[in-house]
Amino acid sequence: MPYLGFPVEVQSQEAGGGGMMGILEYLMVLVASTPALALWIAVIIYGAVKLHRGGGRAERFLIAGGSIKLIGNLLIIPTVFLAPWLFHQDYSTDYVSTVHTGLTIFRNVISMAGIICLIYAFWVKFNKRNSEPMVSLPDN
Amino acid sequence: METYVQTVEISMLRHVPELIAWGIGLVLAIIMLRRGGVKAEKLLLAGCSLMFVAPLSSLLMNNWLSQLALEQDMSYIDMMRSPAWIVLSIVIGVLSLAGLVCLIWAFLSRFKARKPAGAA
Repeated sequence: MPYLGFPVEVQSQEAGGGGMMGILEYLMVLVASTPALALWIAVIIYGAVKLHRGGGRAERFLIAGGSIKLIGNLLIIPTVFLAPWLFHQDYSTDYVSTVHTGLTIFRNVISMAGIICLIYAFWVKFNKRNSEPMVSLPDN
Repeated sequence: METYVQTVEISMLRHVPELIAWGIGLVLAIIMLRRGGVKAEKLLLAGCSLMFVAPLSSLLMNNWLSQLALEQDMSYIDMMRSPAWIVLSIVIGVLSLAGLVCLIWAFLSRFKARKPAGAA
């Protein structure tokens, strides 16, 4: 069976973990996803503030995109947790690898939807600028 | 050889949604620039390009290293520990980070734009 980009289980097995991740690995996954989670939370808050101050469709799409990306990032955690658990339940490497790949693709599709929402928000804002005369704030 | 093809296919499948999304962004950024886009649209174009290049490089790197691992009869884990892998990973990380900075800057400058005081 080839290695299919599935480092977590292999590393923990090499470390003598018997296929199960330790607390340290779980914490590392959480810490690694924190900056991305913080970014998307900031995007949602920014969009909400702009919407509250009289924003429109663009701000709604900004919030939608940020929320979808946040969900996509949160899905990293169960994806990483599920694979070692399946190994522990004596499922074959083939099965675990297929489940892991399926989940990763699903997460990437969600992420794609989020990116498209964000780009559409930008597009709406651009078209609004073209239809109404607007002034940009100076860039300091 | 079959396993190598399998690995490459799965690696490609993982990156396809991301590539499609950034490709759409790239096309829309070019359209906006042609319709009179300014700094924000240029930054969006730069950001989308970098975010498009980063997963593409990652995909190519994975494929290249899989092939190299097969040729040199090394395990993929040993390959991942090699300095070449670490350096390339850092380069891809820097590309992604630069793309993200460009995108944040683009969004901030576009969403900061406001109507003049006298406008209705």
